[in-house]
Amino acid sequence: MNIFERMQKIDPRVIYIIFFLVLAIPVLFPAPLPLATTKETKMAYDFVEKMPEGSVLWIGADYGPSTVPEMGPVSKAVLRQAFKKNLKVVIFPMWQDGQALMQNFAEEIGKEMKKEYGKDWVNLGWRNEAVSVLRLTTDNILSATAGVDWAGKKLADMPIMQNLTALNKDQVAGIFEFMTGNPGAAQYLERVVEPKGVPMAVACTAVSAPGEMPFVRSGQYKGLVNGLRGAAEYENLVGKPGKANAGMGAQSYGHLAIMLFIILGNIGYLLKRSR
Amino acid sequence: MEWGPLLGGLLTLAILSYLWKENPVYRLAEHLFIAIATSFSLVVNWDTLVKPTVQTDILKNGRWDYALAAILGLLIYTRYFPKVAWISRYPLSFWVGYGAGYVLSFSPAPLIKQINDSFIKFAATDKAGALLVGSTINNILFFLMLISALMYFFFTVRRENPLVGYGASFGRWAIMIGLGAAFGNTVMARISLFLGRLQFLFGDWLHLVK
Repeated sequence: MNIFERMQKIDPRVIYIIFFLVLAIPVLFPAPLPLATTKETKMAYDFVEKMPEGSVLWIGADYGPSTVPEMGPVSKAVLRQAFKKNLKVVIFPMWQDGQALMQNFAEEIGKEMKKEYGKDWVNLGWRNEAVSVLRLTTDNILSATAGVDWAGKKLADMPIMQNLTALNKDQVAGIFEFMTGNPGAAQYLERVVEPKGVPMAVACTAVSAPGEMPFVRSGQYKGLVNGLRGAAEYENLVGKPGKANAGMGAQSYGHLAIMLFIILGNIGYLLKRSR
Repeated sequence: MEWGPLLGGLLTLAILSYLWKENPVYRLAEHLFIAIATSFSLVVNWDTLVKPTVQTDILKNGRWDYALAAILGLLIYTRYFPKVAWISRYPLSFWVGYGAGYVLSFSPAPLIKQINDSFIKFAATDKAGALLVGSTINNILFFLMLISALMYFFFTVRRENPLVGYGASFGRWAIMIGLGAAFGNTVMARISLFLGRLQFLFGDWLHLVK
């Protein structure tokens, strides 16, 4: 039995250990590989960058804790860019967990950049049957949300809401949707982007990215941030590398290890078949 | 000592221990996870749905019309009482009608744009009118793969017809390449999630990295 035949019968647990080491060592001792920025991430970054100062950026917080490693870093990077540009940030979660997650990120970045809740940003809060509520916000935000934010505070008393009555292209410069499934960008496309003409960029998990790419090509998305890799690119564009960049070295070494396993496995299989 | 990261770290290791083999520690962590997730969901629903709707929307802001929806929703439980079970069809029919109307009103527009975008010009040029070879090849490939992938699912004409046969065969390859790209992205996503756990273990718990 040669080495390739032996590798055909290797215990999966050995592969798990090798893979754990391949990922853990670069996390402990970062050795990042070069990272080129993809066109779609740059488009998303430019989309926010071109918004006029003081205009409204609508943020869709549609993910849960299970995808925070991918969606957290890009959420922070976009918030940082928006606050740096003095955009007014309106958070609208269609996922219950998205409400608390984006609230925490906005509080953290807002505190760092001295932004005030109610004046510079607001969290409209999750509502039951959120997709219908999203549609209603295109008519009247106060009526759709029963006039209160996520914590029950009156929206009408907040300075940020004084010139913002509805989600439409006259009052909102653009949408940045953070999505991991349904409801997500598709609901925004159907209820806001197409009927109301509000432009939108999307950040999604790598699993969802292939399904979302056609919408970039057709111009329905103004940009697409793809998973952890896209998040790392976005962090670099914003000029504040964070957790996504820290993970990208390990991600690249992990991919190399998988490719090596696949090549070795196939060589072993072909050699076995040829005998 | 911070108890949160310590507990989170130990439970993460307990869950990962399943990769070695099924064991009581893994089972304990799994049961804890299900129990906590259920309780968390209940509390979140109470705090973000029931409480604000009743306390703020209905009692404080006087939206008593919301109560009508609650009554309609409660009617669904009549199905547990055979004599009046027929009443449960009313909320269901309302829900199905509402859903169908909503989807038919909003869904076609983005899809039509996708269909429009499938009709592309093969020759891609820059602003000065020079041919962009890479983009042109992409456009031709896009067209061929789109048509052949559709051919693969076209069952009206027999595959003996060479155009349909070769077209469907090419379409199969196109679909396999597409699925391969999707699978690659899935692997990347799963590694990202595991990296999130490693960053938690080495950073938030053990403080070995920033």
